[in-house]
Amino acid sequence: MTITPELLLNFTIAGLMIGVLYALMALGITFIYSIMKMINWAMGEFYMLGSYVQWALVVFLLGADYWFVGIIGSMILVFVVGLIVQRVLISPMFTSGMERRDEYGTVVTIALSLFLRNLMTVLSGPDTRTPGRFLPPVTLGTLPVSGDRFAAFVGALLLIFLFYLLLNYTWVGMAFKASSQNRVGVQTAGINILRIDQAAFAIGVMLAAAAGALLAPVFLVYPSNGAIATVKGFEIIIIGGMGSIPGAVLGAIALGLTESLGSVFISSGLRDVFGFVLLIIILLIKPTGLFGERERLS
Amino acid sequence: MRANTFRVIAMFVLLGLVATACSAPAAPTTPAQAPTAPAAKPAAKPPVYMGALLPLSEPGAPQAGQLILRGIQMGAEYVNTVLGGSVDGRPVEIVTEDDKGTPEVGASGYRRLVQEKKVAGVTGCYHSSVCLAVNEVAKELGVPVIVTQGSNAAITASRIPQVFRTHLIDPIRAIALIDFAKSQGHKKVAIMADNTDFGVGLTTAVKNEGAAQGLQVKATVYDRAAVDLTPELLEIKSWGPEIIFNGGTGNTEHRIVDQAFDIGLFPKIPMLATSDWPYRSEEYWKLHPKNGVGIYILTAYHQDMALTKSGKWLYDAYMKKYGEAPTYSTLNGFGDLVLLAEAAKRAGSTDGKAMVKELETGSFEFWAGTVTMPQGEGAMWHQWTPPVVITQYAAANQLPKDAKLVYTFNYKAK
Repeated sequence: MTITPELLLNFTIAGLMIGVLYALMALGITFIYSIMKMINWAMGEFYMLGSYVQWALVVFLLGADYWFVGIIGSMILVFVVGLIVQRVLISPMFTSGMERRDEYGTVVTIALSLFLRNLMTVLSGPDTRTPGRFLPPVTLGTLPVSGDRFAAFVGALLLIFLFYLLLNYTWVGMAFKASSQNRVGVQTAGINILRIDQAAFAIGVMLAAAAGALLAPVFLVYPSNGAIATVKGFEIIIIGGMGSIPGAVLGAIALGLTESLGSVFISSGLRDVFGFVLLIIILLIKPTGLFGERERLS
Repeated sequence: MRANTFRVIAMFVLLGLVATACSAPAAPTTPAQAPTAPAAKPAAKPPVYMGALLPLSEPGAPQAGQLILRGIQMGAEYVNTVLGGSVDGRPVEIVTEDDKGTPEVGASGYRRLVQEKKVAGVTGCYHSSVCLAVNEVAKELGVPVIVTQGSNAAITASRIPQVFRTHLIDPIRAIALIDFAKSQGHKKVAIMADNTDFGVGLTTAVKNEGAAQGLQVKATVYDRAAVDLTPELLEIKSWGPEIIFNGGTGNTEHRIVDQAFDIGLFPKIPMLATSDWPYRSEEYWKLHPKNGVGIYILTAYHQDMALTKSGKWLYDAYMKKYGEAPTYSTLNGFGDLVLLAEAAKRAGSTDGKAMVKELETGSFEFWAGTVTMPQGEGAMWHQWTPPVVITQYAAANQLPKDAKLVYTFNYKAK
């Protein structure tokens, strides 16, 4: 195939767009990790929940004209689910004097992932669904793009920006940052760390749900649709550095571009391999990831 | 407190397992449970168990599995009520296993059917990768398996005595695809398929056949788990194909339709589904209400096709039960179950070797004609090939029975 500048630009735009969408997923994972020091293996299932809630709201309640309300509804609902899940399943990590928190977090979130996926298969059946296609196609440069994909891209950018504002310009955001640095320290300042954990988990899964809801018209709705989002999310946080927010965003964009351009110049069948090659290269050069820091243990 | 914590985990895992057990769209029927098909009149006779090994949940294609299962269940009904049962007039009962479209699950499912459920024969294999995994276990356990919709040539080319097939093989499917493209005047053909045994086998066959027929072929094999296929489709678009063969499975076939539409590729460039997934018409039109018109569909049954006596029975019974015409998946599932029951009946035994001999040497009435599955050369080993047709959805919300017939191969009209 002849690579023209126009084609290269199209692939770059496509890679950037998918990278920003990956970023939303990775942000949730890395945010939860940075606060609670646990990996939520059920993140993809919260993405899946978000897509199902969006589908149900649009098809049964709101109609296609109010699809954007469906996204907000998905985020709110999954936020509430996140609060409950954290309170019931995750908080015992910190309240029960548990010695092996990592093992507990891994087992409980993997069980949660299986439960949610199978629950949705029972409730909704195995059929693939779509909330519909809401927006007409747009053209970015010379690249024709689905209007829904473009809306998802813009929505993801907006949410990343709002998340940035929350973290950097609000009291709650500072509490989150402080908690990620020193859990004991924030408690001495009178902050209820358990509430911070609960809010962080709920916000993290809400971001995943937002990604699911935004992408529901593009990538469709079915019980296992979060699986690939989870894999990409974990790749990204390793590339960007565990617990680093800027790392998650840049890692996601790097992954999107690598996959898109690698598909063209090498082979599309190896697309998923490119992400792992990038990951290995980054780890060889900087074992903590792009923005990760060495942990100091006393 | 720690005990409480583990109690919570245990409860949660239990809930997950319960949900998993409930998640199969059709509850598996075991000998201990209620039979799927009605018992024959002389109910005192012990049943002959037949296995249905199908994808009933993801990452397989559960919608296809359901359609085949309907056919298998109605096949048991036909055997019990019309043919007077299987061996010694014993009724047939179906035992179902969900292979999840996953090779290792399929292989263990076949083993469970044979060793625990004591089935006399197995049918229903849909995903080629599952069929290939089942092959080796079938060779070991000796119970015949009839592949309903797995099309990789290696399934029968491996010449395993217990493995039979009544479905299109890749080389023949490729001949039909390329022949159709030529008949439409196309010279540049693109094929997109996933990296499953089906996808890779079909892509190779299309490349070979295209080269033999003097057509340019651009083959793209993508990862089965991929969700964004825009880069691949952009590459295809820049190559300038005149027709695209959509060889996706699972959910990606639908994403290919949508994402090709998004970048202005389809319907400007015609698209041909390399199997009959658009015939799951309710799902197809729900997913593509505005961009699904015009797709070509390769299948093995059309409304105007002549059916045998058993085929007509199924057609009428299916219409009565489901209010719609059966699709190829259902017809083939039905036919394969009848073949197994008849083989046992003729052999006078449910012994694997005796049934294999009958299947190998006999000729049987199938829904589309008379079936023979002798020891042929290469992939034609134990292979019977159904007719090939290509149809087209010419208008939105069309049903399979209304799809326009545009190409036939080895086809006999009513």
